[in-house]
Amino acid sequence: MKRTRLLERIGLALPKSPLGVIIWRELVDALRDRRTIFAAIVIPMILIPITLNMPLFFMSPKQNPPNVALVQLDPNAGTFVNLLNSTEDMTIHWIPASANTTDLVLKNTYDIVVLIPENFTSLVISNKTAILAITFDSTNQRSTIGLSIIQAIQTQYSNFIVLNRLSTLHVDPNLLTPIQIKSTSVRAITSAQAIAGLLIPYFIGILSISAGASFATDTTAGEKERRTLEVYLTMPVSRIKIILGKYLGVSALSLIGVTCQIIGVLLGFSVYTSLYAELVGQTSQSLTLGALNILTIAVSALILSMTGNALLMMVSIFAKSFKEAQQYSSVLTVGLVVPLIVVMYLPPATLSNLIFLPFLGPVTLIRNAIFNIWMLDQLIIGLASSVVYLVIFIYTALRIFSQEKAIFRV
Amino acid sequence: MFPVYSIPEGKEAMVYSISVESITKYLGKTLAVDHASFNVQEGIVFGLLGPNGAGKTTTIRMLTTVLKPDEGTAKIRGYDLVKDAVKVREVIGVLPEDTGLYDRLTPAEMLIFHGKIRGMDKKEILEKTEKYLSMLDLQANRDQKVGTFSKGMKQKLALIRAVFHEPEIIFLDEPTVGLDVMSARQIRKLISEESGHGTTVVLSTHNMWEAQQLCREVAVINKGKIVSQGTIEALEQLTHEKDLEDVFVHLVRGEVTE
Repeated sequence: MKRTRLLERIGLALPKSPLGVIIWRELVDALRDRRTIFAAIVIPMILIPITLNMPLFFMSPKQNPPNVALVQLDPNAGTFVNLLNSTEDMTIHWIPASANTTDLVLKNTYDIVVLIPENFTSLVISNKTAILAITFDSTNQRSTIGLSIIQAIQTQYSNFIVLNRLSTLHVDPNLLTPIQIKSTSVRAITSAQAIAGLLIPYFIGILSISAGASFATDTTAGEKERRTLEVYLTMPVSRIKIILGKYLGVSALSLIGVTCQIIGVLLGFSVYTSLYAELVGQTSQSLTLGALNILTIAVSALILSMTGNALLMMVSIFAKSFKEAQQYSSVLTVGLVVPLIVVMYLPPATLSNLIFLPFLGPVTLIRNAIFNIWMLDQLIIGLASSVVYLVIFIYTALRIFSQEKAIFRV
Repeated sequence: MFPVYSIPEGKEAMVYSISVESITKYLGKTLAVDHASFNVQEGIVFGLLGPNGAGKTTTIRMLTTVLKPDEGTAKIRGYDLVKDAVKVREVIGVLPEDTGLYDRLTPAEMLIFHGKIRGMDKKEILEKTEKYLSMLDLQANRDQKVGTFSKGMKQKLALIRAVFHEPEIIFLDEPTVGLDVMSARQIRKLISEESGHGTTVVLSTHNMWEAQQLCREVAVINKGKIVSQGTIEALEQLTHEKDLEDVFVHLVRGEVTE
């Protein structure tokens, strides 16, 4: 009751400008809709951190160590077994030689089975090659992670043996590495930035566009379907003000959505980077973004969202029902994923040349902000071109809204 | 064919709240309104009567600037329907065929929205909200979402919205259809009161009893054409029928009793 009266008081306190009143009504209407709250607040705040981190949580050997079964037929292979047993990234279980290893892996009793043959140590001592028999399931993520951990230990142990063999033969170990690589990146970024630069533009991009979709379709096609638009048309307000008011209302909701997305992404990434470091065996690095970086990401996300909303409003005005608008919106949203994927794979120089393209510009700017790449001309072109597209979409929406045949399509 | 009401000689068009001249509207390929002409005197309840699909709603949609006529013209309080559309909207109040209420808003919020768009101030909005909600027994539902309302409650609220800003002309499209006796009576009472205060009311209905009770003049529309217009008494004399229902049937069937 109190909240209702508060919204009333806000409405009553507004100046007599129709634009402000239309925006107020859009906000009151949308904020009372559970779908809106879900799309704008719940999804970004909860689902982003979960979807971002859940795969890594299951892949991280520290959080979810593979169960390794060990068939030790060679009682003298203690050094290698100790190495396997010393890592916390796997849990070792000794099983008898009679066990059916394939069945054990297929039935997920163990993720992986390692068989140390009887002649393992004797072959190593006699400078020959011992074979470790490993049974794993390539469709089981934990099994393949277990395999890579065992391979890493095997490589470490093999190198140790090779060094010993070379030393016994008085051979310099450098003989085995005639060439080494010394790489220098022209841009120094942390591994956390590298992952964030790949994933954040995609996450924010797709959410910025999809979060506004339900508002944009509801306020146009939804109103048509509920027959509330006809009353609007009998009010002493020009159609441009109706469209602008609705659009600004949707944009205000997008602002809430984008804020929640940024919070969700930053929360999600604070966990993601440490889980990722665990997975690849590196020291954990947190993603640190300065205020200017966060502001650039937020502004780009907002522009992206506003451009997407304008496009969705344009097609939704034409739609005769909410359902039809949702169909258009789904097709468009899928189409808009293309620039998000492009940004993940195209080289920076190519992206710079394409920054004027709709939706690609703001996504590229988000990527640049994460990588600390600051180019004023790109910032201006990326944002200004988006505003131009936005104006074109709004103008077209207005043209459609002025067409009786489009408004009263049957 | 019955005579169509024409402006009496010597009278200016401006004495009429509404002057409609030969407006025509196609909906797709269907001729929905066919060169309809009629005039509505100031301060009366004017009935637009016709069977389902006769063109009543399309006519009202044109007169409330929702649709543009394909041909013809109309003046609302002297304002041209097309050229001065925003001015026309300033002087009218509308209850459309579908109430067009926002389900997620409360009645109070709806009236604030409507009042603010119409340029009303805070005090006036609050006073009128209390007045009309009390008058139509909706005060207890003031903070309830409109989506939870019954059809009658929604219709009453939509009528309040139509009269809230004291418009000079009110268009009501089937305001009591499907309502219980009590709600319909409350709505008719409010229509009479508004008319008593000098507001011109255009009432589209196919409820002849209601039209007989409320309207001073009626126009009968059939298949998009105005077949006759005048006071109920004049039409009864013309058709030699005793009540409006018989007059209506007579006119719609095109039968004239000599």
